Amino acid sequence: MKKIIYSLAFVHLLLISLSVFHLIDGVLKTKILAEPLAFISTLNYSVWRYGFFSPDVGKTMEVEILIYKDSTNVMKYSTVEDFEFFTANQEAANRFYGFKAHTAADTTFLDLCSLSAATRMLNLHPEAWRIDYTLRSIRYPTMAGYRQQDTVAITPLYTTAFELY
Amino acid sequence: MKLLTNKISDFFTTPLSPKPLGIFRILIASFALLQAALWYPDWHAFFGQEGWIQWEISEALNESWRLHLADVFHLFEQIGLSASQTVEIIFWLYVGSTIGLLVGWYTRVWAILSWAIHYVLLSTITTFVYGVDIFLHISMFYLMVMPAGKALSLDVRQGRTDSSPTWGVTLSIRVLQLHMCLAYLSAGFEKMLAVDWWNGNVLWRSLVQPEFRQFDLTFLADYPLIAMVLSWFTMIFETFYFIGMYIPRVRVFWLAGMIGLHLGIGMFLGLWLFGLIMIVLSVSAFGYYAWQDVKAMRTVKEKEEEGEMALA
Repeated sequence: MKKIIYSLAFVHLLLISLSVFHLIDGVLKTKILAEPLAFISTLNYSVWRYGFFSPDVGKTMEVEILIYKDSTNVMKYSTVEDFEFFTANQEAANRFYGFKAHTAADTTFLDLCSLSAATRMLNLHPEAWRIDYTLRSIRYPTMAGYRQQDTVAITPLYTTAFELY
Repeated sequence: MKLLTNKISDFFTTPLSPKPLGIFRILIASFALLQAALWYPDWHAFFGQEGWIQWEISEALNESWRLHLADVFHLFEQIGLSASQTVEIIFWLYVGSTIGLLVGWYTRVWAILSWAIHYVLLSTITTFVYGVDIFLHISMFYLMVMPAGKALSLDVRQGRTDSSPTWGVTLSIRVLQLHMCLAYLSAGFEKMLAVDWWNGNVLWRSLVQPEFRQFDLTFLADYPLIAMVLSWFTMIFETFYFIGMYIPRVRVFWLAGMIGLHLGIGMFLGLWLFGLIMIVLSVSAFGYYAWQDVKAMRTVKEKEEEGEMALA
């Protein structure tokens, strides 16, 4: 029993090591091992990379949601203008940083998540007839660039509109 | 070679006090309760059937074998509960199991339940998961498989287990420590590969971008050395964590540095829970030994003072 447990611990630590040093990146894409490793990872995140805050934490996203209530009444919610998805505290709001980064990775993902967020907005604003959902990439200048008055680079990534008929 | 083998063998087998595991259990359970309390006002917005990511969509985005809150609801539906009631019950079950874990009453049972509920929660909100959840889940997995009830628990007080050092305790503490070392080594090393970490620009951008900005620190652009020094401090302390934490006395200084680093993340980036769980993990893995170092240093100092007085 003791030997089995020591062996399991060794395999666990080995898996963590191989994963954090990108030695099984190729394996994670293969058909045979991708699924079992993903399964193990959901149990204990042993197949996970801890490169937190690296290499590019300086890049961020803006989500802008426009809610049309009638032809003149348009409400704007933007995450760069302190919109925090109606969360009660900063810890809950922090989760939307991951949400934006996650969704931006894939168009299908974005389609589904923007639809979901728009549905939530429609539930919160039953009188709305149209919702525009836009995602922009924001990159701040370097310190040297900031001293030379460089502007913040804003790039549109995705935009979609949902209308009720 | 034999010396090295013996050293490795000693590292994994020398009996250790289970106290660090008790401290780990108490700190993680307290952390989970704090996080749950902060999450409660937004619980339905995140986990509800009609939350920010509706169940239909989060289920579609998930791997088919992951257990989702919708699956739990299908069970609870049989006894007439609504989706909203299921979400509420899951919250209170999570709180209840975490309290059981905190006090160490039938520790293993509550550890398994806490981990299982946390698993379902993370599977339901995959798009919102970030570092704090990952480290909490890792900790809950460890609490489930490690003898975490062997110290500072009701299980010990009521005689269901004892606080004797066992090979399981030693192995558990070493696995936790090595996991932390690997996590920080990779985090620090990956930072070192990015030029913007060496010149301080990543730190500067993190501090001024609206997502994390807590104070107006744009003036740092005029003093790039500050961001640079802080970045270097971060890279060095993370990368060489595995060395610093195993050298008696240096460990105290290193742990203090890591606590300072994560307090800084909380204060200046607003990631308080993330900073806190990283502190909790380092304290759990090495805090007990750092405290022993402090006590030993005090004893040496007292003896030196006594010696000086005797000479005088």
